[in-house]
Amino acid sequence: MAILALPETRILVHGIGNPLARFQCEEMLRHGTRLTGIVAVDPGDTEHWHPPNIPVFQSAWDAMASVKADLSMIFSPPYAVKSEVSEAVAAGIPIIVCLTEHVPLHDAVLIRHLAKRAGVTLIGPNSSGVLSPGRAKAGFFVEDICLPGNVGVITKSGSLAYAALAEMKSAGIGISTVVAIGGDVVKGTGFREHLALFHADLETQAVVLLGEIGGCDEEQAAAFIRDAATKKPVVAFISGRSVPLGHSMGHAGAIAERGRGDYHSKSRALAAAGVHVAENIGEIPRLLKLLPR
Amino acid sequence: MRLDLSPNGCDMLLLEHRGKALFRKHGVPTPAGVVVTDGSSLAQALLSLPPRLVLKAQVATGGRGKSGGVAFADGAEEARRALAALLGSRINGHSVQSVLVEERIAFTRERYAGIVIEDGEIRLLFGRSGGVDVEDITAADPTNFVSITVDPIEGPAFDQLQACFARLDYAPGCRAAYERIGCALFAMSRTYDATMIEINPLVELPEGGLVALDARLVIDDGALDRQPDIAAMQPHPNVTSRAPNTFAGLKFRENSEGGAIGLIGLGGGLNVALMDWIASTGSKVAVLVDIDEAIGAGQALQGFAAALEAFNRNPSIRSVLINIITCGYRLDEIVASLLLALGPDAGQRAKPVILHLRGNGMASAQQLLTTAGWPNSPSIAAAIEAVVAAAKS
Repeated sequence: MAILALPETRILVHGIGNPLARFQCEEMLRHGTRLTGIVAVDPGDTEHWHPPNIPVFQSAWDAMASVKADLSMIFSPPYAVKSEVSEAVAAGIPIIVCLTEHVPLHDAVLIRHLAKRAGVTLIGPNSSGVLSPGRAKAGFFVEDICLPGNVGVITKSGSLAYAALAEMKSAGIGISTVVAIGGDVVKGTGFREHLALFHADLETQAVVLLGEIGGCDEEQAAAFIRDAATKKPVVAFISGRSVPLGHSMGHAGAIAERGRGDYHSKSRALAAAGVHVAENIGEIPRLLKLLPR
Repeated sequence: MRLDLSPNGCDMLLLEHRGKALFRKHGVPTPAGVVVTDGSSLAQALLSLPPRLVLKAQVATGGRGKSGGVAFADGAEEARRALAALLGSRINGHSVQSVLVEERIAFTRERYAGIVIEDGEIRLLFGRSGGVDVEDITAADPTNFVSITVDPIEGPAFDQLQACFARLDYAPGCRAAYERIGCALFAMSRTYDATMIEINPLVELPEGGLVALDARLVIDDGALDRQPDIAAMQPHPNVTSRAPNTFAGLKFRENSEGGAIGLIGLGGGLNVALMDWIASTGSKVAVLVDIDEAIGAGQALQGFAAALEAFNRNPSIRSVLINIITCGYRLDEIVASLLLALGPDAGQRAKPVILHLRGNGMASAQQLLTTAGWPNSPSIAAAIEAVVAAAKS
């Protein structure tokens, strides 16, 4: 069944002034995704271009009142993300994918808080989006680099996932859904939330988790996997093994992260939770093929 | 290899005296003090300060107390000598250009107060003991710190703060003052887009009341455009030299440990994974260029040309890997620019160039490469094997 982006998922695109958003609209239509509307706060943004036969709305409220949407994609400028996401949350859109990068941290904290309180699944900021090949595309991922299949992929970095998907495709391994949670310090949702979705998805038989050094998302994911009632095999890769962690700027950070956040802390925690940790990206398909069927 | 991996990796640390000015604006008491840069400004400052003084080097780095950046003085003569010793010295690699001269405060207790963004939440932190050894104290006794998760809209709740102060045995008579500190920290973090604020130590006075003896504010670089007053407070120019060198608008990240391979990649996450992989073979990436910004700016050809030219001139680079796996851009458009930058001499270059290119528009991209006679590696593993072998031959 895949997760988050399904054949019936109706999608709104916000921030059409961004050329990336316009390109993605064309790509979504090419992939057969149900692009249901454009939200343009500034009417000038759609004066010269908008996809043919797709309605344009001035707010998420207007969009929800006239077409029912399941997912919003946010391409708005960094300082506009706070208001755009707040409005989408208030309008009742259940899944919000924020692709904008360089969102101020305090704004990210606020929209994360609002989404949690409202029961909205916020993905990002700085997410590369979601793709369920053959079903729907809500982000930068394209079907050219992957195959449909039964492995779920959760990643911080978009580019790392592109490489993993391409390597999996070369080995004949396909995916149910790939979801990019974003590499920023503050994220709407993390590995844990999407691991839970993949655990509940009948089609997904294994999960690939792509992490990187810094923070403690991977350690938390390891704890989640260790304690989960339903288990699916997980293969993980952590980038940054050859890069020492940056110097922490204060006592608080040093105390909070003591012994966590580096490559060895993450790979040890994951291995202890029964995760198969790949040495490099090329090893991911090999480890997936070794999993018991 | 030294790299800024996180988007907040190079956030701006305000100099102490700038931080203290913001503290005073928000009702956080600080010692009386004056910033001086030479003997005559010191003489002027001494007129308004008591004889018992602290002189603190104004450099954007931590651990000043343990690296000779703080001096005590009794009277004008000692202050002049301490200033002369501090000015021009180097603290953790930062040259001292100004010194904060403050009244010395007599205190009964050193505490810690701070605010951070952690696990997606705003957290207030209070410490039973503070001071330069707070990390070791807390490692030995984790109950030294109490952390409160703050509602980012409402700010800290009275009950939360009181429960925290009780656990830390703050005297009931002081708790209102600590509460004001907690509220001020929250207000400042939101007002100035601070990702971290620390008051260490926050001291209790014999006659009651609190004073912030130090101030560390870290401002989110991603928000500086909407914080013009803060952005204007950049530390001394010599301490902002962390920016990587740029060439034709590209960022060239050089490996301080050397290396023989030049890497042109797309996307930070994958670039790091490629460097890890190459490092695991015993070779090293000498210079990394992320071509993302050039492509995003419609300057792919210029970007590739500038990077290749720089790699050609760099005597330590012996082979080049161009690894691009793209979804958000059209690969065929990128390849068209790349082929122009590479020129007609496929396979004849003094420094071998290995390509591994995948992505959106793969079929037409492959056609362009085949026509031009450039082989495309079948996998990352094959590309890395080839570039490492070429660097060694």
